[in-house]
Amino acid sequence: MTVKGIKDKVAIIGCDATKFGELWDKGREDLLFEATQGAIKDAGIKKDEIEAAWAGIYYYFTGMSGATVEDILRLDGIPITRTENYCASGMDAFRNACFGVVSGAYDVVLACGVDL
Amino acid sequence: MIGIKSYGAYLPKYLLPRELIAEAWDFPTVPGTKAIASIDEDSITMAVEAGLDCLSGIDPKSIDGLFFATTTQVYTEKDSASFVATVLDLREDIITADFTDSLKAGTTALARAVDTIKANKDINSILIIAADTREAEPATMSEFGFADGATAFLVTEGEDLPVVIDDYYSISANVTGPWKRTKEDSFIRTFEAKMDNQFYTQSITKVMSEIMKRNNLNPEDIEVAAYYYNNPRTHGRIAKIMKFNQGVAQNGLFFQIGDLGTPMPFMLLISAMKRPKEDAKVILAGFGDGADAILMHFQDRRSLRELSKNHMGLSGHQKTMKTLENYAVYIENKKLLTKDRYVRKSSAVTMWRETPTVYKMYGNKCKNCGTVQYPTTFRSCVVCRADDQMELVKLALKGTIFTYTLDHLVGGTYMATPVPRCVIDLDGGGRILVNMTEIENPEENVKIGMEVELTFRKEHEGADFKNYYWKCRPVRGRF
Repeated sequence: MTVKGIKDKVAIIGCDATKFGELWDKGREDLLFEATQGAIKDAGIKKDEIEAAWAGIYYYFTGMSGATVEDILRLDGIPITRTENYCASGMDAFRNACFGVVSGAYDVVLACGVDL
Repeated sequence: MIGIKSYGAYLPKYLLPRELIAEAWDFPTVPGTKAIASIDEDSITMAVEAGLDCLSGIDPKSIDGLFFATTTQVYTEKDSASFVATVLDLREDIITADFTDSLKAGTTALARAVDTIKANKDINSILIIAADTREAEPATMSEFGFADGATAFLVTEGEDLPVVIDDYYSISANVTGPWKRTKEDSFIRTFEAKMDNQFYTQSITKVMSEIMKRNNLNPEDIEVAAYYYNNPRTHGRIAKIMKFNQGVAQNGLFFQIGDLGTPMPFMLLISAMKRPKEDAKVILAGFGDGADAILMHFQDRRSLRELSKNHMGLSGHQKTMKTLENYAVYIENKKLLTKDRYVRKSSAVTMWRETPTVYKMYGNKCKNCGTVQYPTTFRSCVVCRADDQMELVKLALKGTIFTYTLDHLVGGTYMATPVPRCVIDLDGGGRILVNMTEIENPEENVKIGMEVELTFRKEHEGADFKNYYWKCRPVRGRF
């Protein structure tokens, strides 16, 4: 069985990361807001152009949904998926976001992750 | 002049008839009822309620200090006064202190507040809150007496004060009884009730006599005497020893409400403030390992009447109290039964970070579309999606039910299920999700559009500390 892969079929148009450290005064709302706002700005798009989103969140507690991201960015009305896959949770959010674009379902999607 | 600018009180919703205690243990009964706190209340939550009542119409940012008096501390290491000050949204640059371990802690705090205001040019007003939830050992005489409640007095420097503080005097004395050892005792103990009673009588009559003597006052000059008591018979005997005129010694509380502990003399004073006489001389006295007496006079009858109109005080709470029909509810409320209780996750860091939302009930207002929203943690607007356009706004502590559900499977310490989980539209904006407390037959009594008040309550003990949050309750009439 040959794995075809998605090389050259999707591109990252903007990215950002928060400062890492013991950030006692920041919650996951602040961190995710900062990182995604930075990525949106870097890409030169508007928040409303995002068609779908994936979020990798492992710690905090289980039973959380994509609504975590929706609450923070107010991206209501679009599909948001939360991935949990141990320390690969963020990578899996990114991989699935790529699949979303490659499949032709979406043009612009958001992949993000937060843990504290 | 230094005196009392405002006052407030809190009494929990439920009254336990003493005959239910007598029935449970096959004792001869004592007449009357006593006020008992719900399972989600403690000295801190009741202090918040009394503080809110006292500060109705007063800017919390104008207060320079908070003294908290109780014998039922929630923590032995961790200040309660600063916690209560946070929830009441007082400034950061204030003084706070806990007065504790003695039933006279409240009167001591009041006297020390006057000292502090006298000695400091930049401290003009101190809030003194007394609250107690003393637990009586079941099947003892103290079970007939011990009751729960809180009072708050705002002491300030200024002219035109409703009540002026003229003098204060204290005595210190040591006797072993009653006591409660820090580690060994679950309940208050006493060695010989008759000796305790005699000691109490001596201290309280001595402190009142001395303060009258040094102010050249005769018994007939005193028009209100509000002194701590836990036994109506002894109360009457003290009035006789003091030669007070009929009706001077305030005695209306024990039968209806019980022995409130630290707030007791203050609550007696509040009951006397309802029908004040101009220039009446007043003695307030607290007892516990000595005694304090504070001499005051009612300066302005009109402003005192105004105060009683705009604060719930004693009678505002009494109107909405409900008599229990079952002793078991009391046992459950007081956690006298050992039960496995559901514990949630919590984090001291998160609670600190979310202080404006969780404790102070602030929301966000979107500068773009004007929508008031809750909690403050979200930086994008729930309606117009604008990013970082929020300003902090204080939310009202009352509103109406937008929608609700009745949760039969709720975790946590609830007296009864189902627990109504309500979405509240607060007056002036903001929509919040909170549980309802102190509601009978929720299936029939919770309704969409129903008016509710927010009340600060204990939620759980996740991460081994006390976690508090707001709940809603049917309207009791807070201003």
